[in-house]
Amino acid sequence: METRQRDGLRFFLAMVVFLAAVAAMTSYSLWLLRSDAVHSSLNASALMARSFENFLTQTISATEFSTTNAANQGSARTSAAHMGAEFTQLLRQAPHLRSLSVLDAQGRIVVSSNPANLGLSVTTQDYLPLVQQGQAALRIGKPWLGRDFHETDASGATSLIPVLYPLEEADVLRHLVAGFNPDFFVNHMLQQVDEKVGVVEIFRLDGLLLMSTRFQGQGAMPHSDDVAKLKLGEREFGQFESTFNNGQVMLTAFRVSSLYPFVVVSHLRRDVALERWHTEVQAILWVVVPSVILVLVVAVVLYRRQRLFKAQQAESQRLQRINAACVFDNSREGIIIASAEGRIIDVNAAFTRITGYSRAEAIGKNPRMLSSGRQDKAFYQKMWQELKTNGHWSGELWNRRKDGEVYAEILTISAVSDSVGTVQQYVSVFTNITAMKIYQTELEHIARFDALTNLPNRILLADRLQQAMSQAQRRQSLVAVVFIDLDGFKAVNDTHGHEAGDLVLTTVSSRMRAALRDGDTLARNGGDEFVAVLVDLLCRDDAMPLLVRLLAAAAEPVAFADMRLQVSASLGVSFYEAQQATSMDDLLRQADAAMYQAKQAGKNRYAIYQAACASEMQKTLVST
Amino acid sequence: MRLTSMVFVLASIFYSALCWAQSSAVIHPTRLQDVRNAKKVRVCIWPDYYGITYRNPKTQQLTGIDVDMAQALAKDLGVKLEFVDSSFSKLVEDVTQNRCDVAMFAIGITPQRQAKLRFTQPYLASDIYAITSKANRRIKTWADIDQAGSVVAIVKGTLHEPIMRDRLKNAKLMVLDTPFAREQEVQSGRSDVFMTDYPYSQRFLTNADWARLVTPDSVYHITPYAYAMAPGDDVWHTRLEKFVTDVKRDGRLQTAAKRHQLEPILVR
Repeated sequence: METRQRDGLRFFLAMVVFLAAVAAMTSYSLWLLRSDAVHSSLNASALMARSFENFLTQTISATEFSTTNAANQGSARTSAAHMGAEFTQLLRQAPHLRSLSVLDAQGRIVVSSNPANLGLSVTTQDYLPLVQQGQAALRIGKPWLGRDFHETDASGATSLIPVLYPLEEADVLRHLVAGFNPDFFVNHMLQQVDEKVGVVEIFRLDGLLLMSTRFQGQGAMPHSDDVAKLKLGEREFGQFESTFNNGQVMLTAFRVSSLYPFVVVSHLRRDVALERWHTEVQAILWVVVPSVILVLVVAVVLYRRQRLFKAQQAESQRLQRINAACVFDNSREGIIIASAEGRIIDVNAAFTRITGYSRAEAIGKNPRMLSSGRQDKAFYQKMWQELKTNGHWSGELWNRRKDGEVYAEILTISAVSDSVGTVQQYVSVFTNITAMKIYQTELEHIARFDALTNLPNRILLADRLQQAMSQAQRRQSLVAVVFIDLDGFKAVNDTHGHEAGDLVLTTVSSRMRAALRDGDTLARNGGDEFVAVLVDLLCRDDAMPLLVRLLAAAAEPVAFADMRLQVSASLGVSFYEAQQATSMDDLLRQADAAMYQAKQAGKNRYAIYQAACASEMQKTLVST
Repeated sequence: MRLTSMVFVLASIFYSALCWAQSSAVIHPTRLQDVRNAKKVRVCIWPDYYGITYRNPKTQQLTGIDVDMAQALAKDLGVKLEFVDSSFSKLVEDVTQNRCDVAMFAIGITPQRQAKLRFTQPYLASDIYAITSKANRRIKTWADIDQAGSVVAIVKGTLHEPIMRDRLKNAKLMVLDTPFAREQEVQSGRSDVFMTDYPYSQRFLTNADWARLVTPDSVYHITPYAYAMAPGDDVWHTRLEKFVTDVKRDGRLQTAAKRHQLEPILVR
């Protein structure tokens, strides 16, 4: 649960970082675009100020040249009326001029393109630049409110900007006044800047507004302040952001005329300049915001799916663990989980029960600690070989408990590999089968030994005889098969009962067994018949002392309830020689036949089987 | 003898008078014949007339609906075409003094002109419009024109002269007689507006970025436009009347009007 919360927090933080990064990048790009837009509009504003300043300066300069020329030539030889007509002619190609007039020294209009102006006085003291010593400078007057000098119109609907040039005359001081038509320049500027975009204004250097693209209230604004702010004494052009009285932010540029006392100030509305930026912002946000939302949605969906998957995985692992632990703990089989290096990682309760080692004692040890030493090195090598090739091994082996007791177990080892096949662990499951092993040994004994005498029975006899024959073949020695039948046993049995008969059988058989050598075999054939197999005889005579000892052992009395019971034995002997290919059955039959001869000859003796003349070979030995 | 001689003199006077009358009738039977004999038709135009008969000062190329119509007329008559520069102030003189055979520059039919000239049927009809400078602060609507302090420029001899003289009560009228003078006066601010008609205003505004059109709030004064000739020649008049009927019917007039954006004022 805690992990889940931590994961959630981590995911949330990652999303926040992502969002912050996108927001930062977007804001930065938008900011760049914005400053770009402002910068380029400022440049446009500056370009406009420069272009208008240049246009106005050039126009005034050209007008000065052409009109003073006409006036100077005219004054020399023509009448005032003729000169007026000449001015009228000049005005035809000059829409920037309203009228042309000549002032005499008293400032009275003596010649004019507009006859209505004649005789009027014009005050020129306040024209800029101010002159003290009559320097020949072009001077700009205050806008005349009216269409021409003869007319005054306080509404300012039509105005005229008088520009004064001195005329080159030696004797009399006369001036030419050109009435500049501000509408012509305003029209020119309106081509590029209408009210929706901005304002261009032209001021005399003292701050007096000469013309403006603004339609209303030319005199209404405190313009001189605006011009004072420009600090024209320090710089003649520049650009900056400014705020109008109505709160509108403007991209302002200004430029002072290169020749005359006026400055052009152009203001471009920043909101208009940023209109394209606004659409760009919208376009970018329209792309970025849905993209970010999409990415977030996809991320959340993926995250939730991953979390669900993890939860499912954890749940299934938990169930698996529960199952495994349950099996592990409750199993009757001992379980060892060992690392790939063979160190015990875990054992279960059954392990402790079987081996006697506690879990704490086992962990970290090698399973070799259980080794009993009954299996040789080859056994283990084979086991490891199989484990490596097949991934599992199963078999039986003997181990040693902590208390030293040896026990048998049936063991299965499985190698647990990871996805690439590297062994991670070995899991050994084993069961104690000692009891089973003991029972099995008992069964085997019962099958091969006689229950009363504990002598090999006929089945084991056949085995032993076969072995002896093979051995004789290899060693070029002789094997003697002695068929033994007790004489007088039936009488003991009948007279003293089965108990006495059984005692006679067990006692006599163990004495006979003791009379033989270690390698020899004595087996009970059934009833009172026994068969002895004598091995490693170099010649037939080697058997004779043994036969004698057998007869003696059989004839020895047996104490039974204050009585001495006595039997004897009749022995029939056949020999197996390596040169002869006599079969086992033949050997037994021959021995049987010889025993029969011994019985015939008077019992308590032995007879050796003679193939050609069985009777001749018969010998009798009296028991001692 | 005195009597006979007197009778002879009287008879010879009568005869000679008769002969003079006969010969004069033979010399000017009709202008149509003159045009055919001369193998050219002389058409009076006003080369400042945008959309009608305008000579571009930069290329000296003539364009306008009546340039097209004059060519059509010459073609119909099977003669060559010669344009004669005229103006509204010289119109009556030029036509009656036989400087041209016909005046083809959208001549408004006014009573003053009808007294001296003979017109064909009208083919265009236009109201009066005013043009002012974009920077003009005085004139915003049509109603601002006839106000004290306003100056209205018109071209001498145009149909606007009598109409504006009649209609303007407060504004000052400025009558001009030099080429393009009214534009110069308005542009320089010496006058506030100049009066003109539909064809001139439409064409003029496309090329004057400083100018602004002021339209009347309602119909002000619609004048029908026609071609004018000297009075008294029925044959010539009939022929020109036929020409106007022809160009109206066969679509040449409409095509030309469309070409010069004058369809809205076409008289069908």
